Amino acid sequence: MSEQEQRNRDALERNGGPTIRRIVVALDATAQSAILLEAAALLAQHLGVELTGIFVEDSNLLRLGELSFVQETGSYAPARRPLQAAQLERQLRSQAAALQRAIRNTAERYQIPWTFQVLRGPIADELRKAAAETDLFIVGRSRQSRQGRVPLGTTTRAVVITAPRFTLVLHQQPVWQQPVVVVYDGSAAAERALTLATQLTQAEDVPLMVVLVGEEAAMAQELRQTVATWLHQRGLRAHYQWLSRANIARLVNVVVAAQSGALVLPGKDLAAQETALLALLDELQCPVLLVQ
Amino acid sequence: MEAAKELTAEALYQEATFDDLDFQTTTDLEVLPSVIGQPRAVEAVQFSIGIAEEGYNVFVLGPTGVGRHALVKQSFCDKAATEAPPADWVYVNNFEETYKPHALRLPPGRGRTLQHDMEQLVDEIQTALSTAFESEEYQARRQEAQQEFQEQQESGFENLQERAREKNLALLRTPSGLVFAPVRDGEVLAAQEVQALSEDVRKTMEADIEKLQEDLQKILQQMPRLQRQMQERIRELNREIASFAVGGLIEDLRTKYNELEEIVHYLATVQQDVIENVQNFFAQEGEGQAGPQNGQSPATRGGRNENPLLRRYRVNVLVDHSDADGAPVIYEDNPTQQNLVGRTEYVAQMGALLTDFNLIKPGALHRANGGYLILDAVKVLQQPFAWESLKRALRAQQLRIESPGQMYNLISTVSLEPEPIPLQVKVALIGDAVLYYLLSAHDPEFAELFKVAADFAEQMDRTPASQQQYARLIAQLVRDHDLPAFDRSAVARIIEHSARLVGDAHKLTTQVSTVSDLLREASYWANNGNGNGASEQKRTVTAADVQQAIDARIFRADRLRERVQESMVRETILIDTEGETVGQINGLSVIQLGSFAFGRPSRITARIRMGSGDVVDIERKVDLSGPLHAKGVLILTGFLGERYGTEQPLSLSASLVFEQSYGGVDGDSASSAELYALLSAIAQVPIKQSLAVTGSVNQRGQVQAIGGANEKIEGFFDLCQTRGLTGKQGVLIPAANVKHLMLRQDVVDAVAAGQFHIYAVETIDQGIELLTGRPAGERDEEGTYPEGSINALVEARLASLAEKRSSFNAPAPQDTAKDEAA
Repeated sequence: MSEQEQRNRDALERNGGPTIRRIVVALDATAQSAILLEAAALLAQHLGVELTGIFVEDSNLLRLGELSFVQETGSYAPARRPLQAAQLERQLRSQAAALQRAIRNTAERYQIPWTFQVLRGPIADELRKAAAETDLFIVGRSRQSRQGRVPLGTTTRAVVITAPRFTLVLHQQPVWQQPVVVVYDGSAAAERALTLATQLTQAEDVPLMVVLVGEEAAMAQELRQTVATWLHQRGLRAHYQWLSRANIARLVNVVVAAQSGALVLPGKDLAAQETALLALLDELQCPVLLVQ
Repeated sequence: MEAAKELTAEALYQEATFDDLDFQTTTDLEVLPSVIGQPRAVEAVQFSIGIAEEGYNVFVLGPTGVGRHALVKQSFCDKAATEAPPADWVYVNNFEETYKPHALRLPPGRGRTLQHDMEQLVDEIQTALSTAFESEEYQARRQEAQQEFQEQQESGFENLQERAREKNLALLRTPSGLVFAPVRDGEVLAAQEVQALSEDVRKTMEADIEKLQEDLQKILQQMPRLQRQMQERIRELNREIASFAVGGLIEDLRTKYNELEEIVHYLATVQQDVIENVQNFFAQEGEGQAGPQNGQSPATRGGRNENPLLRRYRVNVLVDHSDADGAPVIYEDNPTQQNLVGRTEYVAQMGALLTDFNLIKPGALHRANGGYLILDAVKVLQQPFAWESLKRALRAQQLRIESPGQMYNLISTVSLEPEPIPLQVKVALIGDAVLYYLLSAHDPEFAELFKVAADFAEQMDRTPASQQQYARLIAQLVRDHDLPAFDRSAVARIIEHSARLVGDAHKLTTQVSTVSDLLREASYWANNGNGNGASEQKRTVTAADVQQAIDARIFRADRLRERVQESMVRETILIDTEGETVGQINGLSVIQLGSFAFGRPSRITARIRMGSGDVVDIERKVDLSGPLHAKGVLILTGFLGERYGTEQPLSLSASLVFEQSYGGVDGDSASSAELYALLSAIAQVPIKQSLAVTGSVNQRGQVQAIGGANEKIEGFFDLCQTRGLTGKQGVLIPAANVKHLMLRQDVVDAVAAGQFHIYAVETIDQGIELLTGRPAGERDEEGTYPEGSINALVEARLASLAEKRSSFNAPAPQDTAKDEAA
C-alpha cells in the first residue's frame, strides 16, 4: 500500500466518514467509456481501492433478435438488413471483450486491482443494482458522446435519482488541478460530502471551496465556524461562499465562477428533488459527485 | 680574337641604392598598394571593371604569390565602394504552385524588413483570428449553425420517435445500427408476446415498422447533406470573420509597400490564402480553446515557430544588403556547385525528405549579384558541376537553383523549382597561365564568358625608380603584417635578394608572398630568434637579420646539397679541382628542390676513335637525357663539321658522358663544356680541372646564355672552398649571363681577393684558350691554323683519322684488277 493510500485510509478513519473500498464504473461501447475508465482508475489509484468495470447486455436488444420482422438500419450507410439473435450476441460479446481489455490495460497502467463483470438485463435496473452494491459508482452523462454540451441520458437519470451512496456523474476527464466545490448545509449527508471532498482535495492536492447553504447570515456564519474548526483540526483550509438558498441557478453560477474541477453535492433524498437535481446536472458540465 | 674577360667583383653583385629616397626605416616611407610591377594586369582588371558588356569577365593569370587576389580584390572594392548596393532578393511561397517559389526584388535593406513585417503580420493575424473566433458573436453564429443542424437532425428523430411511441414502438440503438421494435412499459416485447397478438395487430405493427424504417432511412440519408450544408455555412462564416480580421492588418502592409508592385501582389495572395486556410492558424494540439474548425487556438500556447503550417507565410531572405555601403565583393573559397548557385536543403520527416521555399539557401553568385565575385579557377574546375553551373548562370544571366541530383534525375523526392533570379555580376577567375591557355584551347564558351585576360608578370625591371617603389611596397607589407620597422640596409638587402630570386641583377621578383615571408622571417630572427624572448618593444630589422633569414632558409633546405658536396670532398663523386686532364672537364648543372636550387659540378668526359663523324651521347643512348641535351650534342657535330669537316670527311666517332650521373640530365647548358672536352680529346691537349664551365653553344661556336648561373658558380665555388681555394680556380660563364649575376657575398669576396675567377666567355675559342692555356688559333689567308694552336691540333688529328679511314675503305689491289678485267 502506498503512502498516499495509507494517508487516505487514515483520513477516512479519523474523520469517521464513509470508507470507499471499491469503485464501480459503468462502461459501454461509446468513446465516453475511455474517459470514465481513466477517471475511475485515477481515483482508485489515489484512494487505493479496487476498480470494477461493469457492462450490461441490454435484454431489450437480445429480445430483438427473436423478432423476425425487425430490421436494422445502419446509421452511416442507411441500408436495411435483418437482425439476427446470434449476430447480436456476437456483437455484445465482442464489445464486452473489448471493454475487458481496456480495463485490464488501464488497471495495469495505474497498477490497481480490477475486476470486470458482464451483466444482462434492463440497463437501468442493472446499473441501479450495481450502484447499490458499491461505495462509489461512476456513470457517464449519456450513452452518446458529442462535442459541446452533453445532456443527461435517460439511463443515467434513472441511476442518479436512486443512487444509494456516492455517485460520480461525468462525461469528460476531471480537471483535478481546479478546486473541488462542496455544498454544506449541516446535514449528515453534508458531513459525508465534506469528508469525501477533503479526501479528494488531499488526494489530488487541490483547493477546497465550501458553499454554505443557510437562509440567515448568522446561520451561515455558524456553519462556517463548524466547518473551519473541523478543517482546522485536520490541518486543512478552504474558501467559503454563502448561498441563502440552495437555488440551482445560483449554485451553478458559483460552480462555474470557481472554475470548479468537481462538485460534491449532498442530498437527503435525491429522488424527492428529482427535477432540481436533473436540472442541475443538465446545467453543469463538470463532474458531479452525489452523496446521499 | 679578343680574349675572354675576367669579371671583377663589382660585376658579380648589384647593390641596391636609394639615392633619391631619404629614409632611415620603413616607418619613414610612404606606403604603396601591395601590388607593383603589373601595369598590364592592372589595366586589364580596370578595363574589365569598366566595361559593362556581357562576357567581359576577367581571367587573372599568373603564378601564385604575385598579388593576383590582392589586386583584384582591391580593384573590385574600390569600384564597388562607388556603386549603390544592389537589390535584396527574397523567396516567398507560391500559393498556387508551392513547388515553384516566387523570387521578389526589394530595395536594399527592405528584404529583412519585409521578413520582419510578415512575421509580425502572422503574429497579429493569429491574435486577431483568435480574438475574432473566440468572440461571443462568432461563437453564437457558429453555435446557431450547429444548433440548426442538430435541431434538424433531432427534430427528425424526435418526430419519428413520437410517431413510434404512438404506435407502441420504440427506436432502439443496436451495436451496429438502429431498429424499431414493439415495446410495452419500456421493454421490448418477447417473441411469445408478439405471437400472442392478433394477426391484424401484428400486420398493422409490421406495416408501421416498415413505414417508420423508410422514414428513418430518409432522415439518415439527409444527414450528410445537412452536415455539408452546416460545414459550408461555418466555412463561409469563417471566411467572413477571417476576412474582416486580417483585412485591415494586410492593408496596412500594402500601404507600406505601395510602391513595390510585386510585394503588393504578394500581399494580396497572402490575404486570400489566410482566408481560405484559416484553420492553419488553429492547427495545434490542445483543448479548451474555441476555434473555427477544431476548437483549438494557438494564440495562447506558443508562437508562429511552433506551427509548421504557418511557414508558408514566412519570407526567406536570400540576399540582404541592409548593412551594405556599396556593391558586394565576394570571394568564395570553396566554390562547390551548391556554394556557387545556391541549393535547396531538405529535412527528414517520417523517413521522407521534405523541403519548402524556406530551405532555399543562397550561393556566392546570389550574394555577389549586382557586384563582383572572385573565384579560384582551379577550385571551380575541381568541383563537380561547378564550372558548368557558373557558365550557365553567366550565359543565361540568371540564377537558377538546381541540384546535380535534379539535373541528372538522380533523386526522386519532393523538390522545388525556385523562380530564377536575374544575374548581373562581374566575375574574376584567378588561375595560372597553363589553366588559362588550356581553357582557351578546349572550352569554346570560355573565351565568350571571360574576354579579358589579366596577365601577371613574375618579374619587373630593376631601376632606381622601381627600387624606390619596391622599398615602399616593403614598407606597406611591414605595416600589413604588423612587423617591426626595417632599416635602410635591410630594405636594400631584400631588394638585392629579390633580384637574386629571379636570377637577374636587373630584375626584381613580383612574388609579393615570397617577400612577405622573408620579412616575417627576418623579423623573427631580429626579435624572437637567436634566443631572444618576445618583448613588447620590437627591434628594428637590419640587413644582418635579413641575411640570417636567407641563410636559415637555405640551411633548412640544403641537406641534399650538403650531401652532394660531401660526396665530392670524399671523392665518392669524382670531381677534380686542380691538375690537367685530356678529354675531361667540369660541367655545371642545377638541381631544383622545391623553391631551393643549387649548383652541382659534374665531370664530363669525351673519348674519340675512328668512325663516321657521329658524336655519341651516352646519356641519350640509355635514355638518361632529355631532348634538349640531345639537341646540344647534335649541335657539336654541326660545329665540328662546319669548322673542320669542309675539306675532309669527319672520320671520328666520339662519345660523351656525364660521369656518375644516375638521375638523368636535360638542357643544353653543358654543351659548351662537352665541346671543350671533345676538342681536348681530339687535340690531345689537357684541360685545367681548376676551372668549371657552363654555357650552351651554337653551331658557329658562340657561347650562349644559360639559366641558374648564380647557383652554378656557387656550386663550384663551394667545392673549391671546401678543398681550399688555390687562386687558380674559377668558372667560365657565357658573357650573356653577366647581367644575371647576383652572387653570394663570400664568392664576391673571394673574387675580389683574387682567390677565385669568373670569366665571361663569348666563343668556344675564348673558352678553350682559358681551359688549355694554348691559343685557339685562327685560319690564316691560306686557310691553315697556326701551328701548335688548338684548332691546328684538332684539324691535324682529324686529317689523320680521315686518312686512316680512307685507307681502310680503299679496295684491295686484286679486287681492282678484277674490276679492270671485267
